[in-house]
Order: sequence, then C-alpha cells, then structure tokens
Amino acid sequence: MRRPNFFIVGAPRCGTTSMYAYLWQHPEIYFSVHKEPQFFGSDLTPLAGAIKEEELYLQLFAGAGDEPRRGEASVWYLLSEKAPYEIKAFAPDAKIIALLRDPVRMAHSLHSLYTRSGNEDLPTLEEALAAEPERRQGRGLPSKAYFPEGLIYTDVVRHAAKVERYFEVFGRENVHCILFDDLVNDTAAVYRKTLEFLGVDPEFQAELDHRKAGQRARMLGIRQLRRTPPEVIQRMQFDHIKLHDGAPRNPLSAELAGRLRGLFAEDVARLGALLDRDLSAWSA
Amino acid sequence: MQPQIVVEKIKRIVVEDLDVNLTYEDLNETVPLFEEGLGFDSVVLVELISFIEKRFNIEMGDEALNMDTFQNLGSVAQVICRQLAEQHAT
Repeated sequence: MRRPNFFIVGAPRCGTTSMYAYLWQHPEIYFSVHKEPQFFGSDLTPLAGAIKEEELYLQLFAGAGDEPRRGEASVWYLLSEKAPYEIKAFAPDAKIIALLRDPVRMAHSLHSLYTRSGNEDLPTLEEALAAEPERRQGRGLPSKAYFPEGLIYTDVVRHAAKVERYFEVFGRENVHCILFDDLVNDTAAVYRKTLEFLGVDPEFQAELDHRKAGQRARMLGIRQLRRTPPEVIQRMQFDHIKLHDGAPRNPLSAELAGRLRGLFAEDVARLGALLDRDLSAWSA
Repeated sequence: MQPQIVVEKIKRIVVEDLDVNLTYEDLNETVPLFEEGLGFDSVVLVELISFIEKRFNIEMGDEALNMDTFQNLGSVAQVICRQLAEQHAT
C-alpha cells in the first residue's frame, strides 16, 4: 500500500487550503482528497473527520499511481507535540511544509472562523483572550466547542518552538516554511519553490487564482472520491471549507493589536532567526 | 430525451434522494451547484453523479467531471442528453 511522503502540517488560517489546491493540480503529486485526516497528533482532540485507523488512513492514498509525492494536509500537526515524532516513525523520509503568518492577524482570523463554526462563543478576540486562563483549566469552554486547543489563541499562533521541533525531528532541509504574506504577494514564486522542495517539476503551470484552483482541485477530488471506500467518505466533512472564506467580522482594535504585537515579539524574533528572515514588520 | 425532462428528473434526485435540505422551489436550471448557489460539496456531488448514472443508465467518465459539466442543473442535463444521444446512435 502506498504511503504518504509529504505533509502540510499547518498552520490554520495561513493559506494551507490554497496551497493544497495548488499542489493538487501537479501531475507528479497525489493528494489525499480528505483534508484534515488528522491521523497523527495523538495528543490532540480528534476532529469530527479524523481518521485514526491505519487501514482507513492508507485508503486515502490507495488511488495513487506513479506519483513520486503523496501527501495530505492537516493543519493541527504543527501544534501537536507528538505529531512530528509520529509522522517520522510512519514516514521517515517525509518532507514537511508549514505555512506561517503574522500571529496577530492569524489569531484574529482564527477567532473569526471559530465564531462562524461554533467552536467559539465569545464575540470578540479580546474577550476570548481574557478567557484563556479559565479555558486552559478546561473551564468556560463554549458548549459547542469541538476543538478546545484551538481556543488558546496565544499558544496556537506562536510558531517558533513548533517549527524548531520539526527542524529537530526531520532536519532543516526537509522542512519548508512558507510565509502567508509571501504566498499572497508572489504566489507563483512561492509555488515554484515549493515544487523544487518536493523534487517535482517546477515548470508546471498550475491555476493559482485561489478560487479557480479550489474549483479545479474539487473536480480532481471528485474523481478520487468516486474510488474512495464509503467508510472513508463518511469521515469527510467538506462543509467546514465553506466557512473558511470570509473576512473577520469584528475589526481588531489598534490598542489590542499593539498589545498582542508586544506579547508575541519575542517569539517572532525567534522565528525570524530560525528562518533567517526579517519579521520585524510582524512586531511593528 | 428532452433536456427539460432530464432537468426535472435531476431535480427529483436532488430533492428526494440526496442528503440536502433543498426543495423544488430552490431549484432551477441556472442556479450554481456550489458555494454561491445550492451549496453542494464534493461528497454530495459524488452522490448526485452516482444517482444520475443509475437513473439514466449512463456512465460519467473522468472526462465529463469538470467545472463546465457541473456549473448548474442545465449544464448537467446537457451532458446527460449528449451521452444518451451517443448511446442511442450506437
């Protein structure tokens, strides 16, 4: 049975769905039709669509042919302390892709998504941040919360230690970090570098308009879905993808943004050093 | 088979067979199938294809599975009519 050999490990609200759609179009890449199988990360609360049985998980790649790269995308692998070790044990030569974003904007976007999806019941990010101490103790969680870890925003958006962990486990050369701003500003260049990292033809011209790419990936996915066992399809939840669209509803106040930039400054500096990138704009 | 008859048969599949909360009043030939229209997701679309293949006794190959086919019920009906005509001719 074919096994995956590359993984998009996160982070949420950082462009993973777009990259998933771009990579899916590549003829040398076979992508799991199920985004977020969350097979790894045994320390995380399983999402509704998680696939924890190895036999079912491998079915996600059963349709792969000669494609040299077979991958899946689960955005919470980056947060998980166990996922990198579990992935390494399962796929020792795996390539890792991590998309990262300005933590303040990411927190704002994630909070907004969660207010739409039901994981969050506090209407503003400020209130949600104030609730974190209680929520860390498992108290004050929304009645419909399905992923409590995601509600500790100040943990979720700190990237440095998580990226370090993947560097340590897989080696720096096997972990490709993409900044959300780069993806937005020069999608073609970021896509090409990602193809080079994966060792597939970097000249391939994909549809890089994220909506059109999503549509194209959807049709490719339907072809794959028709050959997917029903027990796997039952785990899939596509409705949540629709929730991903949409700008944050509540604006972020300058005062809160400034406070958060200060709070995350040390982590941003550490990440900048890790990636050898000037990320000072994230703290300004 | 006339395209309008095919459209009506597809509407019946959507309302009576698919696991979607839609009524006949929600459906017409031109409303998009995906996000901005009927809100179909990939799983629902695969179910729809499966029902179409059974009801019309046709097979929709990979070449038919593209965005042109699945713009709306009218475009789906056109593909079905074309396939039925090809079958009839052979």
